[in-house]
Amino acid sequence: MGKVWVLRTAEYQEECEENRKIEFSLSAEKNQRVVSDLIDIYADPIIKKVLNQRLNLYFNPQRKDRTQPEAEDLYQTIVLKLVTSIRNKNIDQASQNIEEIRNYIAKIAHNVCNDYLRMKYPERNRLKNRLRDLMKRHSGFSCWRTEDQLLCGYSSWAGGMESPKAAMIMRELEENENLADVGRTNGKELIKLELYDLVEELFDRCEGPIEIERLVHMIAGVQGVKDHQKESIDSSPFSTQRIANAPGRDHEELETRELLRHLWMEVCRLPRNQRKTFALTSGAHTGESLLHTILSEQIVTITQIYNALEISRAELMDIWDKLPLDTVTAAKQLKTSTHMVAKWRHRSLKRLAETFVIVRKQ
Amino acid sequence: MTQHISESEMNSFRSGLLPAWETIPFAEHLEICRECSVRLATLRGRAIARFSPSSFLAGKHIEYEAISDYLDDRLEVNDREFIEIHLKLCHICHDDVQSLKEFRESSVPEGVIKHSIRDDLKGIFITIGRTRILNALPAEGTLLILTSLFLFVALLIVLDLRKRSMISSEKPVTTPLHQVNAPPVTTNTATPKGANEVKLSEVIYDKRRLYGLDNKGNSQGIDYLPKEIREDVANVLRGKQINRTLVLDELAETATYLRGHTIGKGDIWLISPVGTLIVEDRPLLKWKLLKGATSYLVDIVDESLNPIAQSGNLLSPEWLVDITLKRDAVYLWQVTAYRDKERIEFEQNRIGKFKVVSVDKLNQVEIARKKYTSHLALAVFYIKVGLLDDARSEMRKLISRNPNSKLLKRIYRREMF
Repeated sequence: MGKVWVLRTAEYQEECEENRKIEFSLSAEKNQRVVSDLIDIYADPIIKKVLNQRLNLYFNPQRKDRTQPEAEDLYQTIVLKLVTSIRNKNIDQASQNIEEIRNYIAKIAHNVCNDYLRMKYPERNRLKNRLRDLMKRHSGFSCWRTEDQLLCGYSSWAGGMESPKAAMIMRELEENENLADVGRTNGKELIKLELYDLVEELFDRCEGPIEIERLVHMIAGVQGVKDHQKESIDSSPFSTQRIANAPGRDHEELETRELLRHLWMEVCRLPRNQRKTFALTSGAHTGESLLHTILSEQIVTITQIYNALEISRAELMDIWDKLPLDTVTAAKQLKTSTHMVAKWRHRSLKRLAETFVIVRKQ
Repeated sequence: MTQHISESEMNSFRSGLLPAWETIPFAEHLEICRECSVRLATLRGRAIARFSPSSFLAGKHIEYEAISDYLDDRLEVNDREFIEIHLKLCHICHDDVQSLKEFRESSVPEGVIKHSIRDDLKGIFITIGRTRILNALPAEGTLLILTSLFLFVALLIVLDLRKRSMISSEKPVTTPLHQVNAPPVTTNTATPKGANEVKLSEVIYDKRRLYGLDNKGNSQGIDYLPKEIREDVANVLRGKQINRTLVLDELAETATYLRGHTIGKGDIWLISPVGTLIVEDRPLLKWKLLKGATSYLVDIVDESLNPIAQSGNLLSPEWLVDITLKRDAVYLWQVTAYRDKERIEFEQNRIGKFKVVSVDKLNQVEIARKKYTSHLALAVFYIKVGLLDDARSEMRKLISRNPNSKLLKRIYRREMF
């Protein structure tokens, strides 16, 4: 009798597990459908529009333009970030305001563009920081947001929309490289002006607020700010962000894989809580999690991840789509406070960074 | 999972677009299936690897707000250390921080930074939080510190309120005002003692300065202007009209030649230069768009009505004169409008008159432009020498900076019309 009961219990548990799998699969399939709909219906046109507006990248219908390889790369980065965010935030078309979803997609796309511009034109980004600082720290100037634009101007203009003259003046600046005819008077004088005076001059000429990106563009043009692509995180000795089949790429890839392996080894050496926190919360600036990267790059096997994180298959399945975890989710997962998560993350980072700074110096 | 993974599935697996319920079984299969594992490795060799180990350590790049807070020392200990770790690993952000730091040190004197009481208090609380002194003290000590802190905050608020009331008090004016709250200046950046105690009926922001009229109608804050223009600026602020050059009367008398007595419908309204001296020897002539006109033609003649220049067929209502006009000479100009190659006839025919300044005058203008770091001073100078369009432009800039200033609008109406 007892044996039969045990058998029935085992059968029942198996059935429950099977039902749970089916439910999980159905819900996952639904989520996958939501993600795919979101990308096809909403994200695709918004991403293309933002990439076109911000970076002048054009997509042909098949999205395969060999003259602009970075376009496809950026498109994929935005989609990846979006998918990660959607899974984390559990966005559902039916339950969310469409306008909010659109704004959210645009925000992600703009952030990716910002990062790209920052890498490609670091000097312009520095100029933008200086301008924002000028607006923040001088009582006569101000900076404010309208819709998805960051505008600046005299304090008395705060809250206003961009002056229609701004686009015109920028065109003039672009067309007159020597600046002789810009605004018809004192074109050449602009070059001699200090940043504060130049900003004032441009505000005066535009007779109204200017979008900060446009102001950066104007001043970079006047001052002849030139960007020489510098080394960044992704072009550092650890970098692998290279065009496929470029000479030496194999060597770089091997080196990167070796460094990723080294990183994982160092992670495994961390104390238990720091190790788990770092592994679960770490992601690249593109949004991809550390665990996904090392798994897809075959640095580790899935069993090694289970073992290192002392996590079951079901537990990993539950959190996988949310990786990298935010502090709150990580705290729930690790059954601790957000304060402790922050502390463990900070300690692990400090330790690992020291190791990698040493490697980098070598 | 027993089936092998297809190439498209492998691509999706690598891109990170697959959900957990597909990714994990694939990973498990790859662990036991050598064939699929080798195929994935081959595929990886063909794709672009996008990740560097340090990007997982450095995390997101630092935005302006965080850099600014970092430089202002307004971050919590942990946030500050996160930034410092990132800066060690990211050249770009490191250089961003350095660049902003240098910019602040080189260009912005402390006196012009916005210091609100809120920022000061925030800084104090952050410093206290950072030292974590309260955790180490006994309860009585903590109470004492909190009480002292409360009194200190109260004192700060009282001082701030007093300062605000002093600004609007009616104490007599004894010191110049021009640097009160002003943006950075290269010389004498200290705020004059007692400057805050002046009440102005109207404050005007002009370049990096502030000035205006006090309650008794005296101009304040213009002492920084060169002597030769200061009196004129003061007079303008007080409501006196500027003495203009005599040439202007001559230009104004015949600036507009009318065949009729009234401005008729369809008349071409000349915008500039009309009745003024000008600096450019290749001026931009502008007129108002005429409804129905498809093209325009411009003629320029000298004072003796000898033809000097003629434009081609113009589609927009402006023409940048394509020859260099002789200096110290008067010119007249006229626009003819066409509708589909047919000349449009008017009741009146407007003629603009202007004079290109002499070389001597041009030199004076260039010196003044460098010397007078004030829109109003430049406007006054331009009016005096007869460069009315330039004066108008300076006044517009000033009004645009001070859109609520009735004083400036009065000056503009008085001097420009």
